[in-house]
Amino acid sequence: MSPAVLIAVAIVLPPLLRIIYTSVHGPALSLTSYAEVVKSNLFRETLRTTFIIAGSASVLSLLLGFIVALHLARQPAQRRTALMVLVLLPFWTSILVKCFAFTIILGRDGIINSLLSWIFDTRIQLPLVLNRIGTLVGMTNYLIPLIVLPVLASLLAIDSTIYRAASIMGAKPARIFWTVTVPMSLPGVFAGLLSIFVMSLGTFIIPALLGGRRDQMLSNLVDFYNRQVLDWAKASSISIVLFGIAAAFIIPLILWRRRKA
Amino acid sequence: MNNAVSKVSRRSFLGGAASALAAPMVIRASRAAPNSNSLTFTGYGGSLQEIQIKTVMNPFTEETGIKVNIIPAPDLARVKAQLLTGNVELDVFEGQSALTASGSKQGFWEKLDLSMFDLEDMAVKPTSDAVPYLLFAGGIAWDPKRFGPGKHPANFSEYFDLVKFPGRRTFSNHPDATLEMALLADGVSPKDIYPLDLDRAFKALDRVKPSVAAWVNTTTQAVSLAQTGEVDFTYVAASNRIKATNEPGGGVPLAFSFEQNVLGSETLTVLKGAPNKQNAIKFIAYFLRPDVQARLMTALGLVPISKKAVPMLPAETRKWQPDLKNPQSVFIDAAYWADHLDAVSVRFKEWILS
Amino acid sequence: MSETIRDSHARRYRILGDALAVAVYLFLLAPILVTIPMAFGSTNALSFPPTSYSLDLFRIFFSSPSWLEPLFQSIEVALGATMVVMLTGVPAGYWIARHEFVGKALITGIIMSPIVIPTVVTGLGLYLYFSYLRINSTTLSLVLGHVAYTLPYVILMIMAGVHKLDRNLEFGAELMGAGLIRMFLTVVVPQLVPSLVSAALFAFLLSFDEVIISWFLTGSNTVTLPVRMFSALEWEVSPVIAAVSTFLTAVSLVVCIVAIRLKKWTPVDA
Repeated sequence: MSPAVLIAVAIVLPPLLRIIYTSVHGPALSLTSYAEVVKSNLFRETLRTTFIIAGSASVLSLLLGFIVALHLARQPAQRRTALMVLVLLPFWTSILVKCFAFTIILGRDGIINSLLSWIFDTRIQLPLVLNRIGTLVGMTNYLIPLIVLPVLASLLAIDSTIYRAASIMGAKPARIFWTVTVPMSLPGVFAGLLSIFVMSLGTFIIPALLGGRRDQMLSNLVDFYNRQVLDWAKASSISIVLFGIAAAFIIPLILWRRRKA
Repeated sequence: MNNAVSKVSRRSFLGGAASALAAPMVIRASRAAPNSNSLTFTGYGGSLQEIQIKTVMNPFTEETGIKVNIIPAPDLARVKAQLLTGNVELDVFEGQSALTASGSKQGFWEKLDLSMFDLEDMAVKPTSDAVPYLLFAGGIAWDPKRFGPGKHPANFSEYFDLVKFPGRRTFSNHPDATLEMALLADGVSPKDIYPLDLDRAFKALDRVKPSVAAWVNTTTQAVSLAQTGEVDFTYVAASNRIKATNEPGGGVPLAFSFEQNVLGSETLTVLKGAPNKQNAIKFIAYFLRPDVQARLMTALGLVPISKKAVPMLPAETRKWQPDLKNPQSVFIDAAYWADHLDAVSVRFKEWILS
Repeated sequence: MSETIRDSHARRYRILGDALAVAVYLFLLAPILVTIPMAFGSTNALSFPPTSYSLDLFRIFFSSPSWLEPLFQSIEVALGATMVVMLTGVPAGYWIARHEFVGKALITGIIMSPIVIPTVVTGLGLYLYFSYLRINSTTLSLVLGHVAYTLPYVILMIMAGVHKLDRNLEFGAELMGAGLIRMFLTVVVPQLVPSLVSAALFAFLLSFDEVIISWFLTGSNTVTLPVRMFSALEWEVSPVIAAVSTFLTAVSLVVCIVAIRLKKWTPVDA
C-alpha cells in the first residue's frame, strides 16, 4: 500500500479511535451510553429535526443549483469560468459573517421586510430568521456551490449531438429538457445530492445562529454534551451514530458507482 | 502575543518538513521551564479581554516581570482534556461561579491558601478553590425609544406577564439564572429560592414559552436582538453590556432595569498541576487588589469584589452598579448548580425542544 | 415556419432560465453585498446601510496586532496545511483510485470520516491525540488538524480527476520501464493539473475558514483569524468583522482570477 495512504490513515485514525473508545468508556467499558442515547427523547427529536432540515435543505439546494448549472453549461467557456467565480466567491466568505449578514437581511426590520413594507406601504414584519426559514436560507446558501460542481460536470458530459438530434427530430425544448437533460444528468445529480445531504447532517453554526429552538441539529446536541454537560461518552456515541447514518447513505452510492464502472 | 516561542515555531515550521518534525521538541523545551516567569490564562476574549490586558495583565507584567499568555474561551472540556492526558498547559481559568463550582466537583482545581487574600475586603468570599473577582447583575433590557416608562417589564413577574406586556422576548439557553428568574416571577420569595422547585419553575416557563423569539447562547446575541428590534424585551446576563450600548460605538442605546436582578460572580481558579502555580496565585491576588479592581471595573462597568474599590469608581460607573442588598434580587448559588447543572441542563434542553 | 415557432419557444425558455439563474446568483452573493458596504461604514455599529462612509474599520484592522497576528497565523496554517495535504492527498487519492487492495473500503471510510463526524467531536479527538503527542497549542498541531479535516475533500477531488484520465498512458509508461514514482510525476501529475489547482485552492480555503477544530487546538500564540472572529462574535459584534471579511473576499477574488489567468483553469474538474 502506498505510504501516502498510510500517512493519511495515521493522521485521521487516532482521533477516530479515540472517539470510539470514549463512546464505550463511561464509568465502565460498556455500550450503556449508546443505549441511553438511543432511548432518550432529546436524541430522537433532534435526529428527526436533523433529517428534515438536511433533507429539505439538500433538495432545495439541488433545485436552485440545477438552475445555475444549466445556465453555466450553456455559456461559452470563457464566460462560464467568470461566472463560476461568482458561484465560488460566497464560499470564501466566513460562515460566521454570512450568518450575521443573513440576520440583517432577514430580520424583522431587516432588508427584505423593509423592502416589502415600502412596496405595500404598511409595516410588514415577516418572521424570516431564528426559525426554520432562516436555517434553510443559511444552509441553502452554503450548499448550492457544492452541488453546482457535480451537476455542471455531468451536464457538460452530455454529448451535444444528442441535443442536436433531438432538436432536428422536432422535440420541443421542454421535452428535450425532460427526456435528455434530466435523465442524462441524473448520475451527477444523485451523487451531488447525497454528498450535500451527508455534509449537511453535521451542520453546527448555521442552526445555532439562524435557527430557532426547534431547529437544533445533532451537532448542536453533541456540542451540548461535549462542552456543557461534559458527558463525552454520550457526545461520542451520538457522533458514531451520525457516522453510521452517513455511511448507510454513502456506501450504496459507492457500490452503485462501482457497478456502473 | 508575539513572543519568542511562536517565532521559533514559525520559522522552524517554514523551514520545511524536516524541521517541522523537530518543532515540537523546540516548543516543548521552551515551554516546560519550571519557575518560569510566565503564566497562561484563559478568559472570555473579546472586549472584556482587551480591557483586562490593559488594566490588569500589562501592569502586572510591569510590576512582577511575569508574562501572561492568553488563550481565548474558558472551556471546561479543554480543562478536562488537559487533566486527562496529563498535559496541563493552563494555569488560571476564568469562569462564572456555577461553571467553576461544577469543575470543582470534578476535582479540576488546586486547593488555594486563602490567607493569601484580604478576605475582609471581599464582598463575596472565595471557596476553597475558586476566587470571585467581580460581580454582575442580569436583568431586563429594552429599547427606551420604542418602550417608554411603564410600557416595558421591569421585574421578572412582569417579564412573565404576557397580557400586560405582550411582545417577543429572549431567554438564556442555559438553565442557571433562567430557573431562578421563573421562580421569582411565580412569586417565590428571593430567600426561599434554593433548593429550586424545578417543577414549579418549568410550569412558570411554560407560560412564557410562546413569546420567546430566541433562546440565546451569548449575551451579544441577547443585546443585538433587542438593538435590531428583532425582540421587544431581552434578558441580558450582565448590565455592563447595556451600559456599553450607551457609549460611543455601542449602537442603539438600550435601557436596563435594576429593580430586580439575578446576581452572580465571575471567579478565578488554578488548574490542578498547573505548571506555573506560584505565578498563578500571585496573579489572582493582584486581580483582587483594590486599586487594580477600581481600574478594571471603571473600564468594564461591573461591580468590584473589593469593597475598598467601590468609592474609587467614578460617578458615571456607579450609576450602573446594582444594589447588592436589594431584597428583590437573588444571588446565584454556585454550590446548588455544581450538584445539579448536568441533570437540569438535560431536562431544560428537552423542555425547550418539546 | 415551424423553425421560428421552435426558436421563440427556445428563447422564452432561455430567458426564463437566465432570470432564475440571475436570482440564484444574487441569493448567493447577498451576504457579501451586505457586508461590503458595512465595512466602509462608521466605527460605531454594524448597520445597513451605513449612515456615513469611511475607511476607519480597515484602519483599525490593519493597525491592531490583535487582528493582524491572527491573519498571519491563518495564512501560515493554511499554507502549511495545503502543502502537507497535497503531498499526502494526491498520491493517496491516486493510489485509492487506481489500485485494489485488502480493506480498501474500510481505509477509504476512515479517511472520509471527518466529513461526517461532527467537527466538534473531531476537534476533541484531535485535541486528545495531540495532547498525548505534546504538540498542542502549536502551529504544527493546527496544521495537522487541518490536514485531517481537508484530506477527505482533497482525496475525493483527486480521485474524480484520476477517474477521467486515460489509463493506457500510465500502462504505456510502465511498459516502457518508467518507475512508479517517475511515471506518477511525468504522466499522471501533468494531466491532473486542473484537479490539483482546484484541490489546493479548496484545501487552502477550508483551512483558512475553519473555526471549530482551531478553537480546540489554538494556543495563546496561535490564534487564527476565524477563532479571533468567533470570539469577537461571542463577546461583541465588532464592526471590524465587516472589514475583515471584505478584505478576505477581495483577496479570494484576486486568487480566483490569478488562478484562471495562469491555468485556464476549469473548476468543473473539481
